[in-house]
Amino acid sequence: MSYSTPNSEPCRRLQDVVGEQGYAAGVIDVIQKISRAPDREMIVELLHDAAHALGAEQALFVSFIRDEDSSESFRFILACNPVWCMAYQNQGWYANDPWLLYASAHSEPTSATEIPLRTKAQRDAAALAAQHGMSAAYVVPAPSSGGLSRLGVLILASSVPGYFDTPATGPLKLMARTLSMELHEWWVRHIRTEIIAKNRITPQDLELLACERRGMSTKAIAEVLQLTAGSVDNRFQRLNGKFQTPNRRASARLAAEYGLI
Amino acid sequence: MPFGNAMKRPSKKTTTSARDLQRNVASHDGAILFVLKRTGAGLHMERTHVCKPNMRVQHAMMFKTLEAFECFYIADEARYQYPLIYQQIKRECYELFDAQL
Repeated sequence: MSYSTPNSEPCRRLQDVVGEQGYAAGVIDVIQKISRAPDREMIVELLHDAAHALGAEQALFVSFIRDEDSSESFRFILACNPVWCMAYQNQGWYANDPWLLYASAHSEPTSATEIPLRTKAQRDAAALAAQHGMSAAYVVPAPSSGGLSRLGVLILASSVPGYFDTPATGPLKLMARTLSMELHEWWVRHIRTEIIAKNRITPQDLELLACERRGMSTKAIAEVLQLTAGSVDNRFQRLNGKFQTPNRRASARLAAEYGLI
Repeated sequence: MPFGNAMKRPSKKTTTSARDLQRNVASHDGAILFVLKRTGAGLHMERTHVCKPNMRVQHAMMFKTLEAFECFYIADEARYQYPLIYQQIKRECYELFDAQL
């Protein structure tokens, strides 16, 4: 089955869509709903709506961790052909994905044609996307601030080759970047809430982790939090158990990666 | 893995909502977990797969038709590794598509 949505209009040119009256207002209307979305079902629906409003046929948002030394975590919100995503998963192309690699090192939105395909795996990944209706893609990174290594990237796609290679992408770039940042912020907040609830992390646990992240010693943490040194060590042991990490340094690092501190 | 405990719960079918519109299906080894929800727009699916130690991949997607779900089902090669789980998922999805909202 070829993937299509009721809103697919692949014959329209991007510059025509972007130039329509109310283009920005239509996109902003969708973006504004993201921060209030209570769950992932709503986010998937909003991404479908946003893709159409932006002039794309398909879209996906990937939240992932940049640091290769830590646990790998990829979260996909799909408003695209899920068959493509399964084929991609079967190949395990995450480390070779040219779009994710671009987002790891850049903050500027770009057409996928501007991203060099250096390896066979990267060329295969691009060919697979084209095979599933994503011949053209617009890659919109959502970089993180501070020590957060979780990144986001929004991909807008079209079945028309070269669809995003037009000089008239100014409003698209602006709107897509806003959408990407909103989705990323929603994810980080959602993941944070989920981890805190599932692992019953207390505000004092977060203070402990933040102190560890700053490189403070047990004695210094005990003084700041008005605890005994033994109590600090015990609390870290419990946290290490909850996070399934070997030591408190790894716990603090994990907490930073997931936006807890 | 901060979600490890939840993933290791050894249950096949854990939850059915009061309105019978949500199902959770997980493998006994905790490596794969599906959350299925019937919504006004179709069938929402979350697929979480711990592919290897320290690697977790999660997909959230919406199927508007049973045909779209079946295409996804055929493409997912994890069904060879977890045939019983995937049979259950197929059954649950058919039931949820038939469910009255």
